[in-house]
Amino acid sequence: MRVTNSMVVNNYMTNLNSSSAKMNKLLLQSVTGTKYLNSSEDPVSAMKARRARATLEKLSTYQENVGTATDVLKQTETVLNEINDVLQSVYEKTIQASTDVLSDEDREYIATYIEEMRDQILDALNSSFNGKYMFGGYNTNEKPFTFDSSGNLLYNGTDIATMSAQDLEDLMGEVRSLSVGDGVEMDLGMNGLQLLLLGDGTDPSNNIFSLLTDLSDALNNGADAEYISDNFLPALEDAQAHYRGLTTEVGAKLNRLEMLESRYEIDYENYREVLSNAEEMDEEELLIQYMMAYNMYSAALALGSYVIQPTLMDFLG
Amino acid sequence: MASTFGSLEIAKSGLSAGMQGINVTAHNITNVDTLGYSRQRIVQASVPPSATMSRFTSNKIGRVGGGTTVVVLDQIRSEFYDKQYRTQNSASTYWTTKASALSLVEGLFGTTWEATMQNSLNSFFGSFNVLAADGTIQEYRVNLQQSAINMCTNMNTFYNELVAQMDDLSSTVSSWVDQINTYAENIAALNQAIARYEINGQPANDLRDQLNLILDEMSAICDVEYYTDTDTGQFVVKVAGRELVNGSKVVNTVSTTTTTCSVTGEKITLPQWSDGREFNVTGGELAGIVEMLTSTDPENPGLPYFIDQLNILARAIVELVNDIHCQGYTYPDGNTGINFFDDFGDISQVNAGNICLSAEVAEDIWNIALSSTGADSNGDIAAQLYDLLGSNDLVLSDGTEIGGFLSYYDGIQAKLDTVLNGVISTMSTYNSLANSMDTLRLSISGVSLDEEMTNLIQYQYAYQGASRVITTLDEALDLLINRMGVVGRS
Repeated sequence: MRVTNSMVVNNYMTNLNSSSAKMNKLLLQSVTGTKYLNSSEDPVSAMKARRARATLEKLSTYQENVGTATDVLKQTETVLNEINDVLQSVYEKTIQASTDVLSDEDREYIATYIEEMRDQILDALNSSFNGKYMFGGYNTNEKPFTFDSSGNLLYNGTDIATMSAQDLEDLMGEVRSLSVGDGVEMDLGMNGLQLLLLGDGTDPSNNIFSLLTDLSDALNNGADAEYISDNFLPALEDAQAHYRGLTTEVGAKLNRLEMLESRYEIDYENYREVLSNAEEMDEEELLIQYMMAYNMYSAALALGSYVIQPTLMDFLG
Repeated sequence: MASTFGSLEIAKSGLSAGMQGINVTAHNITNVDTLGYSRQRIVQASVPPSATMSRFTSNKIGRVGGGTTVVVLDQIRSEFYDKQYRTQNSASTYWTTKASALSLVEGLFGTTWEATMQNSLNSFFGSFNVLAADGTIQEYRVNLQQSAINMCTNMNTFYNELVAQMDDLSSTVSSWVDQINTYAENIAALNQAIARYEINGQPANDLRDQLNLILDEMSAICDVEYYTDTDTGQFVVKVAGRELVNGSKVVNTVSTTTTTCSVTGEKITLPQWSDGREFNVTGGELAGIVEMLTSTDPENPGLPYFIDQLNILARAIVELVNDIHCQGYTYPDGNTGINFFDDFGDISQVNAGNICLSAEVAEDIWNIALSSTGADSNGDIAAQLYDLLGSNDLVLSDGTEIGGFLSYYDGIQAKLDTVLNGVISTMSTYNSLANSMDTLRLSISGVSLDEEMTNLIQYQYAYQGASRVITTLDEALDLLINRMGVVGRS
């Protein structure tokens, strides 16, 4: 093949360009830390990376939701513990009151104490978390438990005593929830009526508020010790069992959330690695490749000065 | 016997051939960098002795010839490689045009480390999630509204950029068309000049170089065919399969036509023959542009394909989000039946370019209807809307199967990536083919300075030799004329 000047120069320029393009690409890879600058350079890895990124996004949403649910449930647990403590002390006072040695004054004193305790439980049912009432079902902006002018207990503005068993069932179903996994819903705490009503929850008059009111009324009205121990001690024991049951339920949910949380942490790490394998560049490898490309480029430049210049003219006298 | 001064004539022909050789060498050397120049050479032949029978032919010895003559000043060029180069060059520019248009789309989709569209989709649906537990938290509603606006703006920008890209491509069409027409006139003029010059049998080397250069340049714009008509002897140039120039006449001209893009409804400019016939261009930049402007074929997608896909995505988001949102109730007013996105009264009116919030939602964050049970804190609707992001069996009312939003979007991008990947690798194949054809051409018609230097020395010595012959003849004639017959004289 005949070798002509423009051929040599063209070839040299083409190859020099591709050398420097290669170096430029490696440099950009090193600056951005990614294997490819445009996803078209490696469509398969890019797709893997996009899917991993979408999964990571979803996982972090779930992690966030698990965190929110955990916070709310922990707060619910605190409230339940408070109610348990209150009931325990009410139970102790009631045992005291069921002996005949107490004077009427002492009993009235205990009655007053029990009324205070009852109000404390109601306060607990009206507790809020982050400025939102926790036990109002779908109502988070108004205090759920209030009294009307004649002293009837209202739930979200409706007199509890007037509610039918069906109403109660519907209302108790109103529990806000968050999704903490694919198709996994987690209740945020529980409905206030679940906390208020005792027994099977179908009878609006069987609730902790009226139980304690009845107890203090009985004490104030001078009921005898036997009446109190026969009527109220078993009821209080049942109530305590009811709340312990609820506490266990919340505890179980918290355990589940904890397990989800640690699983999501592991999943998150795994997908981070998938993402990293799909699009991140190994720095050491990059450096070595860059050095090689750099050497090639400088060699090409050095050679160029030999290749391009000499012609026969250089040697003619 | 040869005439007295005949030998001088022989030497003179050597001098003039040598000088012509030097001139051609100089011409070659000075054009070593000229684009499209192909090296020239003189073709010499010896002059045979006169064949005329002479009455006085006296001896039996063969007669000496009449020196040398330059028969033709030829150029060295391979028509085969020329043709090959032009074919590859058409393909190379066609793929390059496609690659550059698609790269722009790729840039819009977001570079890998900041996947902008994917992010805005994710964060829009993600904003529903935090409202799922309680739909009445003001800052989350504000956040939702803003991320919805952000997603819409992103889509609008994307759409507008694609439309602008189409507009840019469309506006280059007429300048390429003008260029083809200019080339056609130049070729016709050159054909005429060449014919006039070559009437005396000498090739018009430099004019032919110009003609070849134009054909090279034309091959970058469209597919070019050319041949010399064996009947008429005219040089014919065809583009896009139709005759453009025949000899010194421009037979057809190209113009443009304006049509409406079926996807965007915008005006696009396409090339057309001046007599209204379709311009079926298959190579070069123009073919790339036409394809990018018109193709909705998923196997060979142009810009309208991607705009269409994006429109479907926008329509899907509007329809599916509105369907659920309409069932929700606002807080605290308890209104229902409100659209989240504006559907312009008819869902088919929605596209990626106009997707926006409904007037109600844009005006007041409390018009976002997130409750399924009247005016309360329930966030069921928000939960359902968030679940849309994860569902994989979404179908639109017109029967279009979307799958999932993210997977649909992923599909668009994966399509672009694989297509562009293929286009770029085809492009580099044709680029290197065109390059190697060019190298082969240069190896034949390029000027080699070494060679020219060698020729220069050769011609110089030939010239010197011929001069020496004249000197020798001069001495011989001097002897004959001035010194012969001096017997007795001094």
